[in-house]
Amino acid sequence: MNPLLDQFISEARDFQQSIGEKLMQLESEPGSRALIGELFRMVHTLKGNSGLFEFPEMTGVLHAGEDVLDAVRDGRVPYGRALADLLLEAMDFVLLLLDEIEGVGSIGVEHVASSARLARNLRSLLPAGADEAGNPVDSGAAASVGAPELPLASMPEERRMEWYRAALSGDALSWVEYAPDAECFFKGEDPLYQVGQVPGVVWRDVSARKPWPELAELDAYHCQLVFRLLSTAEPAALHELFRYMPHETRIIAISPLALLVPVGDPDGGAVYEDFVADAIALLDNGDLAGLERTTRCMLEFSAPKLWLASALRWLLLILELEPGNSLVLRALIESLRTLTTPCWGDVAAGRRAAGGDGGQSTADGAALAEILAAQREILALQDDVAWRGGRLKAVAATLAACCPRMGGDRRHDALEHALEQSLAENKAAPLLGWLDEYGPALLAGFTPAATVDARSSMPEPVGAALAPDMPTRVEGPEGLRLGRRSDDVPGTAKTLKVDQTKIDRLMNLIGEMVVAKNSLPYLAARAESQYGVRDLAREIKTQYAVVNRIAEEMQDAIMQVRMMPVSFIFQRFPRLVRDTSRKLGKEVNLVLEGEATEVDKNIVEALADPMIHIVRNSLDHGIELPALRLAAGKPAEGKLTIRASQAADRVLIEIIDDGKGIDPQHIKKKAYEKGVIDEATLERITDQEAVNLIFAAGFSTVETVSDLSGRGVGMDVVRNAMEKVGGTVSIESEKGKGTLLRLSLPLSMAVSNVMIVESDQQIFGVPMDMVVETVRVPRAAIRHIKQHQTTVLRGSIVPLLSLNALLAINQEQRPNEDDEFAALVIRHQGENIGIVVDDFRETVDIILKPLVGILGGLAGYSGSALLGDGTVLMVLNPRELT
Amino acid sequence: MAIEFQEKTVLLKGCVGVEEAELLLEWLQKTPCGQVDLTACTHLHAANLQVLMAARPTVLAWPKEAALLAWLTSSLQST
Repeated sequence: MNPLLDQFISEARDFQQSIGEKLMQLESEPGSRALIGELFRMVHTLKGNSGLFEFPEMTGVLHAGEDVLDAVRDGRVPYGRALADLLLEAMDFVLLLLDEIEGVGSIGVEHVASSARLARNLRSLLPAGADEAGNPVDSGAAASVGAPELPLASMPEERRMEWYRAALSGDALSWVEYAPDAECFFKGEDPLYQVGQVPGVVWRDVSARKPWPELAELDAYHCQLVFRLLSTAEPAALHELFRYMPHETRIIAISPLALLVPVGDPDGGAVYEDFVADAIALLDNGDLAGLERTTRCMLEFSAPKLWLASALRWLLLILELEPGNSLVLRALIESLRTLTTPCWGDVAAGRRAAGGDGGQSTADGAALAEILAAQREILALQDDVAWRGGRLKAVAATLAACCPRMGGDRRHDALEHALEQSLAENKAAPLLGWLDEYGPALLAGFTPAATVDARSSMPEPVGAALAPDMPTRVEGPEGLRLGRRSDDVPGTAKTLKVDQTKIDRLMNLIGEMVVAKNSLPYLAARAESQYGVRDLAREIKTQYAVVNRIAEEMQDAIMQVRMMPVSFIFQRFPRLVRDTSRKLGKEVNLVLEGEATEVDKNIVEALADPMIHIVRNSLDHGIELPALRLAAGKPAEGKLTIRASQAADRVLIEIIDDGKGIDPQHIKKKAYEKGVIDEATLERITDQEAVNLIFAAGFSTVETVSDLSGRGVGMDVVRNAMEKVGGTVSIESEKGKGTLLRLSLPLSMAVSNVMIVESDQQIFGVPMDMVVETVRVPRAAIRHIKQHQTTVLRGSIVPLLSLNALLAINQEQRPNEDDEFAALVIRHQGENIGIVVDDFRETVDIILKPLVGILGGLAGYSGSALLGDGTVLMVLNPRELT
Repeated sequence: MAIEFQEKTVLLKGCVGVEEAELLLEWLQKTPCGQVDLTACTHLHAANLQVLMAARPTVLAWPKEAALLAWLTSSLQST
């Protein structure tokens, strides 16, 4: 999963939760405009974010929610319970989708229908006419979902018989009606291509939404087409294909019986009463062979165009394919009396009630029992919560949805009555009463005993026969899952937001742990030297190794927590560069690289200001005006690259521009004029050294002070800031080609490796990353040049400074027995310097604490640390000393 | 060019895009008894289909592409 999606999910969860909270707050203070405004903003943001990804289902629902909230904000729609319920349901749906995205990375196609329904429900709250987005097809689809009138009868009988055969052998058959938006051509859609993608098309038709106008008035780019097709593809595949246009598409699963429509001339002359009576008798006796004979006979006597002949042909087909389906056969024969198509809805329901498919019926029964039990449980909840009314309504809706399975208006009326009563009394008792009274009857409906009664009172015209895909889906188990309030599900948040102080405390604790751990070797040494128990000493050392390993891992883990990607600072640069370059009239292309590089939070924070400074400098001094660039043979658009990368335990940040570079001669002259260097230096320094002069304090080359840079507080500030966090800054520049600034920083500053040195019977720490080498210099090898001591190391002169002198300790450094001085060679601003100390000790890992309070103003020290034996170690900062 | 106008016939070739619908419509408006040759057509943008459906020109030759043929015949051949 990509990091953007990760971030989206974690943010969306936050939004989802706070939207839920705001909705709850609104229940108690419905008039609050501030809350509504906040709610709108959150839904709006969430919608916008979801639009970045391909989650049309989520975006669709949120868009509808946004529209409704916008209307509420403008006072066009009053805020009410119903609205809150719908919004909460929508949020639950969003959560469901989020879970799915997190689990499998995408949204399943089965949510298309729920999404469309939720969006429609939300939009239905908008005042009429306010919904500009809703096109005529949308409302049309909504209205006709209940009773889809499909022009199946107008299709050729042979084709329908073919499909019927296919359907019985297990093929699905779906009706797709796709009426693209009138403006769809402008959105780059090609509806013909879209329908061309539909697999298993067995019948197709294209028509116009309204009669075609005169050719002269035709607008070629105003889409009027309506595509209709029958496909044997799985409904899921069709939903997937049309998931981006749920409002423009109607996908309906067609049951085979819907195909069974005899057509023809009903004027057959005589009524076929005799044949019907014979056929029914044969059917009752189970003489199917006889029935087939009689039917064939009758068919031969009838003109093929007659309705009768058509019905007989169907009869023969059914006899051939499903001779056991007596219900359908009977209905078909009886229809000959009236010469009208039988109502297959009744027949299908009858078949189910009769237990035609025993297995399924039992399964349905079990599901129904489960649903009823769940409702009973909900009603039995004793808590007195604000949304109790909504809950009662939800239960009633579920029960009502269960009812049509068994029919009976009486039950419906009773249910509504019970709901009203429940709401009025704010008690669950009336609904429970209804459940007690009718629940068993509902379940009993699934036993064969109820057959007769069920068949006669079946008010289910379309539900079974032409089961429209959408409603069944929604009211089925899917709907039930949706109905859950989010607080029923245990939270599955995987990211924690932790206050930084808590992490800092962890850091401190691990620091103390490292110090405590470091005392074990001292203990081991004492055990051996003082008490003479060598075995114990060895055991302590073994234990120390274990503790050491765990402590290091722990430290590493905590360090990881503090790591942040540098994109945190990089993200502000596009805007900064755009604004600045606009102001300067320059054209700059910013390239960011390695934004995912992670460094310690403190380092990231320390980086921000210096980097802004450098970038501004590059824009102001580095990149030239477009005209100058063109004259120099460079593209008018300058290129500024900011690159972060990791090298061992350091992070490198390079800021590269392809501007005019730095002219060393110019720098030298300026530096001399400003008194930064003297005449002798002016003659002596190399070009690179001259370029480095820009880091000198109080140096600025620009004649006029702009509001961007040129005040002379420039690169020296950058360098100091870098050094404060243990970083370095270097510059490479070529005149006319560009400049490269390289910042090098430690990945983390938590643990420092220092070398302990001794001087005047005190110990001091020196950061290891500054130490080049340690040497013993014989007294004879030290020469005096004027007041300074120097020595020659591997052919180069190294100045020697005494630590005691640097710290103003009035003592000579002590040589060892061989009259050699201990010199610590450190690297300072590109030069090696030897610091003479009394003796070297070991190196240790310490947690460096900066000096605070009065000591904070003390130059020469970068901080202090506790050693394992409890002594305080002052860590020197040689840069400030020398 | 995916569309080629001759005196009385328009030839649609290859993949006919959305921009061609305008040209096709103009030509059909100017040439009331124009005929269409779709032999070499592999795909037709729906806007073109719409124009053809509204104008109902005589189709001299149907496309060879089976999928396109199925859609075109069902939309242009029925009454």
